[in-house]
Amino acid sequence: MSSKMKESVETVLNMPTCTSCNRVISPGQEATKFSCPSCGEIVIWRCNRCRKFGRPYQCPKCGFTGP
Amino acid sequence: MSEKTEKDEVEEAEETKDAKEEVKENVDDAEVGLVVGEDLLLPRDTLLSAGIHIGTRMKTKDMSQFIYRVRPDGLFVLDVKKTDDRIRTVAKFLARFEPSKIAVVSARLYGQTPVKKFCEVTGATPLIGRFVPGMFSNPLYPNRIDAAVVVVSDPKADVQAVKEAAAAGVPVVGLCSTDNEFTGVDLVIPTNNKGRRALAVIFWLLARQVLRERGELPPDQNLTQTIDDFEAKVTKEEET
Ligand SMILES: [Zn+2]
Ligand SMILES: [Zn+2]
Repeated sequence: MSSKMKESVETVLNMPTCTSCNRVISPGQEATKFSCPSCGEIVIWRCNRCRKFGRPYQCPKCGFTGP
Repeated sequence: MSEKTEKDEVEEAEETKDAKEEVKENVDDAEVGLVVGEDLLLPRDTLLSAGIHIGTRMKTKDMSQFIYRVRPDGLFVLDVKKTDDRIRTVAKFLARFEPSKIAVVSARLYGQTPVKKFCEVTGATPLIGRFVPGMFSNPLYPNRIDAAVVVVSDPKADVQAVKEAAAAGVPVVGLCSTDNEFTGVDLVIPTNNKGRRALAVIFWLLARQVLRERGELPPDQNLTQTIDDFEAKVTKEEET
């Protein structure tokens, strides 16, 4: 793998994913993050589409389901 | 989502009136939903007589998980235990933020006194009355509020605040009744969000619980402010 390609793969790997739909959230996208309302230990990410459609999210640690 | 229409205003006014009338019938609900030994933040009777469980005649798919039943008159009723649970969760959540960075919004009249009191008690920042566009999202606006979290009294009435919070990437806590949708809302408190007494009780409970979570109030102690202090006062004109 070329170093350039490796770099871009790493960039994608380090990008957050939406807790609801698992899609990568790019830096330019409207999204939000907050610590799990219940346990506070996991960062929940929600992409703009999941927020707009009110899709549920679940904390992988404590099981809290929102919104 | 469209701006509030005149029809919405009329419907809201009717719903508020309904909620007041329904309070008389709340004793029936108390009997139906009673669980022995349950641990609520306030006695079930107190919550029910304030009508915090009284929804509207409309039910959204989003809110169905919080709805307890539909009454014969077509009014949807919320599950008080779930409201209680969510007040605890939201208080834990809000307690993690710097107080002044919690923005609390209410365009609706009956929400304004409860929001002001909540902010006095917890150090949050109130935004009541007409929401000035650009308040969260425009970095050039001099009175811009640098909110880390936004609480709205009603995602429908406070739609501009919800939109701007989305644009700013700020999480939104919404007081939602049976007719609300989750668009733009990250965390819901299911409650009557139109009744005067209900809004006072919800914000009072939330304020007390936030202080308890922060360790500023022992778990067995109350606020010095009463629920009455949190309630919007009705002028003579409104009463007649
Ligand atoms: Zn998503
Ligand atoms: Zn959790």
